Amino acid sequence: MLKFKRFMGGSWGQRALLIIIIFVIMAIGERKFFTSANWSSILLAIAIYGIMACGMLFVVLIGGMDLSIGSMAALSGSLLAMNWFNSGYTTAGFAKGLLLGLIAGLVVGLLHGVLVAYLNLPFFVVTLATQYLIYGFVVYITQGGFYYPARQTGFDPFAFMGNAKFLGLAMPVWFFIIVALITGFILMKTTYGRRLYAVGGSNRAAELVGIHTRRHTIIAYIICSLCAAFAGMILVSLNMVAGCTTAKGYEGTVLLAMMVGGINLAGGEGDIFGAVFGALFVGILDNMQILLGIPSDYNKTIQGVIILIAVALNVYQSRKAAGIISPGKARRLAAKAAKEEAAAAGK
Amino acid sequence: MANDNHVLLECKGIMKQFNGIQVLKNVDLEVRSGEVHALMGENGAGKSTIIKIITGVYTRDGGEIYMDGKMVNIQTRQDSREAGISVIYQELSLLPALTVTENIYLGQEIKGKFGLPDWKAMRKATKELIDRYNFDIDPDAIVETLGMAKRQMVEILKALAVKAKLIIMDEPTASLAATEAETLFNTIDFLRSKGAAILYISHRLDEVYRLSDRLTVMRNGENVGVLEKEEIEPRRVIEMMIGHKLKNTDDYVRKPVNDANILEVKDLHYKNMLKGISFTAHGGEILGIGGLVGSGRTELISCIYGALKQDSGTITYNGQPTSHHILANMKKGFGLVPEDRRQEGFIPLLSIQQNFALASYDQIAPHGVVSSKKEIELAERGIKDYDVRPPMRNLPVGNLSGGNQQKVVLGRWLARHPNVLLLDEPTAGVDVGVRADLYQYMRELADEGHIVIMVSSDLAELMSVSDRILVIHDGVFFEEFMHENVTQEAILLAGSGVHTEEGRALC
Amino acid sequence: MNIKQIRLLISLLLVVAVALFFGLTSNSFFTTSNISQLLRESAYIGTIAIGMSGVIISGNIDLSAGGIVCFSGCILARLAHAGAPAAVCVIGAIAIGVGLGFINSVLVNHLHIAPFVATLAAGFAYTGLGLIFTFRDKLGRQVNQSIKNPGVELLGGKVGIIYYSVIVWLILAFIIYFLQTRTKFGMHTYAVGSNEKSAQMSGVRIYRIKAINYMICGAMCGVASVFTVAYNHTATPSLGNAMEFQAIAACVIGGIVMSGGFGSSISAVLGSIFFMMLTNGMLKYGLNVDWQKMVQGALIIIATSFDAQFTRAYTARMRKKNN
Repeated sequence: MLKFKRFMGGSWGQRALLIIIIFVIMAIGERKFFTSANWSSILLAIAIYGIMACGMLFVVLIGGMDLSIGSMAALSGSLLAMNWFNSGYTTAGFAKGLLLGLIAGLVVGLLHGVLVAYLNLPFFVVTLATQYLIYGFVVYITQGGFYYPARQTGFDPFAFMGNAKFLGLAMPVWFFIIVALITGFILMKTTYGRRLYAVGGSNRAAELVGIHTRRHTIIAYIICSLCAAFAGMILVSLNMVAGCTTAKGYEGTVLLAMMVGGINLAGGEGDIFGAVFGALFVGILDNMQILLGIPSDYNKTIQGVIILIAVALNVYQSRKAAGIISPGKARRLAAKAAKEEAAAAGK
Repeated sequence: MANDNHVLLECKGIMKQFNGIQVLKNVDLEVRSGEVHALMGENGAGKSTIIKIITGVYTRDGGEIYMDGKMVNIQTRQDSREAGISVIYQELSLLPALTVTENIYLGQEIKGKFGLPDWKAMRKATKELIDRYNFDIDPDAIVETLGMAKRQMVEILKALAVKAKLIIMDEPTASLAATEAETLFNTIDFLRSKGAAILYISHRLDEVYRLSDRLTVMRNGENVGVLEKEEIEPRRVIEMMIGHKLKNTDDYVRKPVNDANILEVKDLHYKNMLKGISFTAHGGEILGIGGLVGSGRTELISCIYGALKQDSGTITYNGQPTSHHILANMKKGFGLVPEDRRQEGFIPLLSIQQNFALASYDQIAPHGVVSSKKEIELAERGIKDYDVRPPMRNLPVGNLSGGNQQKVVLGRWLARHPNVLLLDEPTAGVDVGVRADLYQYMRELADEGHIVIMVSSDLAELMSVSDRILVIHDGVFFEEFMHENVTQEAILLAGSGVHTEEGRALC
Repeated sequence: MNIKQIRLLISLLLVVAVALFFGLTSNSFFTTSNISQLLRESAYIGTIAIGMSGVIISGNIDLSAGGIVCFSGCILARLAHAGAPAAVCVIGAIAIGVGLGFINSVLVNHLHIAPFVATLAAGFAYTGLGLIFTFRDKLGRQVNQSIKNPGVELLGGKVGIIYYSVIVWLILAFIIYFLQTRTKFGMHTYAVGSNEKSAQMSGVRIYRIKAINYMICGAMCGVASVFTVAYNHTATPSLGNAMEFQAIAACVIGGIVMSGGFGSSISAVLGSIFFMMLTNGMLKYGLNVDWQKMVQGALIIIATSFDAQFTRAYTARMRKKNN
């Protein structure tokens, strides 16, 4: 029993419990949930969120956050679709779009990194600002319109990215698996990944063992933007449409995935399993809403409430572990002690 | 007013214990009005504890406090403030973005019409206060734009604004340059002439000598005596602080140094802290660096390590100048165990294994890819060699006891067999049993022919561990002691700028 | 002249410069109808910005402001549509704002969640909860329902060329300015933003100060929602969308430093006017939403970088002079 309690108290126990609850609810409520068609659509959603979550993980580990990933995805997706469409569906046009999308990710990530690491600007202001900046840029290059590339006969690299299947799994899922494996490898096996935890855990201590913290920060932001750019390109290929509304609001969903995955938003704590689990969770959540017929505008309601619960739980646990109490409780305790003292003095 | 020498503050039989350890044993303290009363004692003598009890930060377990002959029951900061006691802490508690006037009246606003704060009155009162005490401060200046000395004046003004009867100053010169300190002393003289009582806590004998009318010395939580002005004399004060003469009594055999391993520092300057430090450290010896807290010891080893950049002067290791990049120095075999373990030493969230690995990625990850086998090996060996408890390599270091945390930080470097190991207060907050282990590891490293440099405020430790001790005073090395003939008293005297017969004068 | 006054002057000069630029280069800028509309639009962001100013000065951030506007706006629309008197609608909207502000402060103070995480998440929740109350047809689709409520409609009106919203905004701005600069509460707000620990040591009740600022911000969001709904006669799902961003932008441009302890509601007012003038002027040049968003995003980054450098340089100079 004690072992069970300990297991449930740990983050893995909570993760398992959450998933089981969802499965039970879905099994009771909706027969469609377990159909293979439904699962392939869940997996696709998971793949897109998952790739973004992998990138975001780097930034969150050093105690930052990137609110611009939705816009970034829209930008790279639009660049890809535009070039593919405008070139008259040539492979060269596709390659150009792909390259431009990734370069855009690189540039944006570099900008974030430099502003945060060298100018010490608060990251949420910087990435909130670039969220708008990039969004505006997407509207500008797309003229506010949408690109609907036509399906090509023969090999179609654009459609291939999002719609082809390999060994029964859609390509985006394979891409996600690859990105997750690489992320896991970087974080667990390379010195860069290991040092990232140190930077997030204690910047000063990391500096004193010779870690170039600013450089690590910049690279983390670049990886995050690159992942978002990549996810955006897969997303437009999947939906065969690109424009400024592509991936709009995804930063919130990915943030939710981070929190559910037990990744400490203050930095230094979290792993690839958490990110994958989080993506899994938000993917299933999306699907649940569709199956249960909840209008899509309640997305934010549900997400917001879950984020708050997840954060409050996390904070509660860590504070309990550290023995911190709330100001109200501290006051009450102090008042009680004073009263007792007064009573003792009175005697 | 100035010759009205009645007893202002009287503490009788103050008791305090933490976790069953008696920190204050029946302490009496008496401060008269119109005097500067110094409070001295070694680290852990109970100075700050009694101050915290007087200012209401801690509650006392027993004893009575009287102000002006009336018993006061101080339980909170507010009680203390109401009794007329103001305190100026080491780290100034001013708000940088507010103006001088706002800072002075924060939390004690003068109320005008409709209960709103009356800014005009506050500004006027500030101006009057500044004029009365002849300070050179603009009441509308934003505190951030003031230097440390002026900020201290604002703190003093803050105390004067509430007509504090007793001003407590806790190491007020710690963050001041010499000229700034002189300004502060003049201010204190002036305050005394106006009849204010000041309780002055300091490590620095010269300051106490210069300022105080009377002096209380504390040792091990007890008041060991009060000296009148004419009785204050460095040797006597230090004898009282230490209690008994302590010498090294071990069978010490001096081993030859390793001249193939030499660190040379020449004429090092850093801000106002270091004013031309020169010395040579040899392999095979533990070099202790003594001196008062804030005398530039930490800055010195930070410069050597590359964490700070000196203003001028050279640091060479085996003839090669050292780098200003920590990583380059680490590659040459430098290591640093910093003073603030929790903030700078280890990373609390990471496991023992990862903390061990932090400094050794060049060894366990030759091509940027970490070898799990080597990493685990490193951690297991470290845990075994340095007896880290509990011996669980996946446990976050934040969960270990202070001593075991320090073993991880030290072990991280020792595993690399560093050519130059720099330690800053390596045993602060470490329990006695673990200390002995740490000393042994340091000695083993030195015996391998490496250089070990240790900064310490713990005199017993400095004496017993080091082969040679250099004491900083006023930004330069003042005296050099050898293990065989060093005494606690001599280290303290040298740190206060008094030459001793035990040491060799360096300036 | 101290740094606060210099920075305020810079903001004022920026406003004048932009006004002159667009006024001289476009002949449709200084028309009465354009000025009237421009001020009306400034008032929406501006009202939120003056509330936000206190939150930022106290060293926090409120990313849920848009969510609060959405939530209270949707409830307000329901109330008004049901025929409630205008006073009830207004008080209701403001009360909701205060309540949501209080929730924010609980998340930040008592659960110790980082302000940007807490309010970002709360913003999601508020927006989502607000959308429950939007008008829908039988299939659950949102519809644009026009509200018929004379009292509320009156609030969307104007005297001369000045809308009521502008008058209320400026009055509130001065009230908040008064609170910030002349009262104990205001001084304590700056103290908390400057250094929380030191403020606490000086006897400032930091949790209370932070909570009140969040509640004021919520109340201002409520006021903003009243005037938006009153003018548009409806509550759309996009109500409040991106308003927190615009309000923060206004604060930052006006010279309120993100790390706290600096600026005032007047900075927020100037920032809002500057922000809206720029948007409005760009429209006159045929630069649409794309350019506006790009320029707005860039402006925030430039303004925060500028302020960081500006305060550093000023402090260094003054330190030299003062010592």
